[in-house]
Amino acid sequence: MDLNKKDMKEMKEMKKADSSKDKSKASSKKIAIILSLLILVIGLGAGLSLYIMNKEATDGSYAYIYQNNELIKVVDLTNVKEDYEFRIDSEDGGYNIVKVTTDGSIGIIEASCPDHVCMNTGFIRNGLVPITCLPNELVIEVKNSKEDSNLEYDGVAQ
Amino acid sequence: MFTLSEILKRNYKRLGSLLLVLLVFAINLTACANSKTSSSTGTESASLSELHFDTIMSISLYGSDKAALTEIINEAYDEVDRLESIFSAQLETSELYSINQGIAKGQTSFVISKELTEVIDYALKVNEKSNGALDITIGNLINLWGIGTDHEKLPTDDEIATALVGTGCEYLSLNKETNTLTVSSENVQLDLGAIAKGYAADLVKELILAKDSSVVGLLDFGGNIMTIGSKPDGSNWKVGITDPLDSTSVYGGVSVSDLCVVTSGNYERYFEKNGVRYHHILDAASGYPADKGIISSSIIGASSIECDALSTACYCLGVEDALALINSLDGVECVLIDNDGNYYTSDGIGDYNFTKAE
Repeated sequence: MDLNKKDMKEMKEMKKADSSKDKSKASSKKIAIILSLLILVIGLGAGLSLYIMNKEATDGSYAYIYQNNELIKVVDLTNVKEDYEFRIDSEDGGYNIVKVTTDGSIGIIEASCPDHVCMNTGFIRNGLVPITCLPNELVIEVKNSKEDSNLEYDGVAQ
Repeated sequence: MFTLSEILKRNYKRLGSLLLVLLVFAINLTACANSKTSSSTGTESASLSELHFDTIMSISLYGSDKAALTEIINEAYDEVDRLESIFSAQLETSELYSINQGIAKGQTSFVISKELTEVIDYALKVNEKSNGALDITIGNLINLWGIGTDHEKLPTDDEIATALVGTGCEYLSLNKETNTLTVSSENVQLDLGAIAKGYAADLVKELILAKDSSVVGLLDFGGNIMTIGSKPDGSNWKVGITDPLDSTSVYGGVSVSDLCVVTSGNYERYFEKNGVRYHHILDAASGYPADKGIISSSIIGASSIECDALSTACYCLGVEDALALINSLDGVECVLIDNDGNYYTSDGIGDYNFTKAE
């Protein structure tokens, strides 16, 4: 018993010592928590603003369709629910069939022109390369609401 | 119970972190806002695309006055129209068309415009430097193949041989003093498709700078890129090179200022028959589409006509001869891409920081 009491006393003392240690530990813990919270907040803030920026950047990808150098149609390429096609007739009886797909790209799948350069271009989704059909004087350009200065290339040699 | 200062004291840590959170948001948001406006501060821009020279052209200019820039762009397109009425092989009203009609009828001597003299003179020089790889006399061969027209077809070997008889730059002689062109073969039909667009870009750039020497911008003449000065923010223009194996994406890019980048590729105009692609860059030596292993040839230099001529010549030469030619010339560099998608660059390409896209 005596021994136990002594032990208990010792343990109590140790606990006391520990608790005073705990106190300084607790304040350093607090600092650590605040610091990690701060880092988290900065990270979240950066992440959120990046998200906002990117959302604005990718939001609104549009295809501008020109005929004889005049804008005749603007196609929204964002959130296309299902693939669809439409036909554009030219003044001299030619035509192009344009397809818009759910992955936000646009292309010409059938055309009256002999060279089929427009079909060979394939499907486009960015401003790098336009689709042109010279015989029918048709041009399709994709523009993102993103400013040009944000694009990686200022021009593309082809 | 508590005074305000006590509340503040007790919660200063919380308040501090709240303030910090707000600060972080504010910094992030203003950073975004800045990146959007700073590039255009004090700089107006105007951009217009039109169809000319059988291709889409686009002119983008940056300066201090939008209306003035738009005016300059319109004048630039007027100049393009004027040049097209000289150089077009298809327009029946063009100067070149009437000369070709004359040659076919046996006329041998022509007084030609100053512009036509300059371009033919240039073509003859490159023809010599490239051992005939750039040949402006094969209009009949181009017409026989008809690539990109309503009569495109795979000709027979006999037809090709016939179309090549009596062609070659040795049948042309030019007097630059009197602007007189002498043609000594009736089978010559001039086609300047390989260099006229390049010449037009040079003249248009001159015209723009004559109107306002402080303007910077980028001309895209059907994939021939000409830059005027540096970007409005003072950095170099980044010009991509189309991936010949997937022409809707970019193979790589170079960084240039006040220079042009011109590419010839097998994906521009072509038709396919029995699984073979017949493209528009015809080799005057064989009479067939050039097939020396290169499928894309890009030249970087100050003069657009030079780049245009050399890109076609290099395409026809093949990798080894093309690299030798470009390395022998001052002020031009090249990026060549072969059938397998490998690239080869001239010795000085490091100046333009060519980097392959991911």
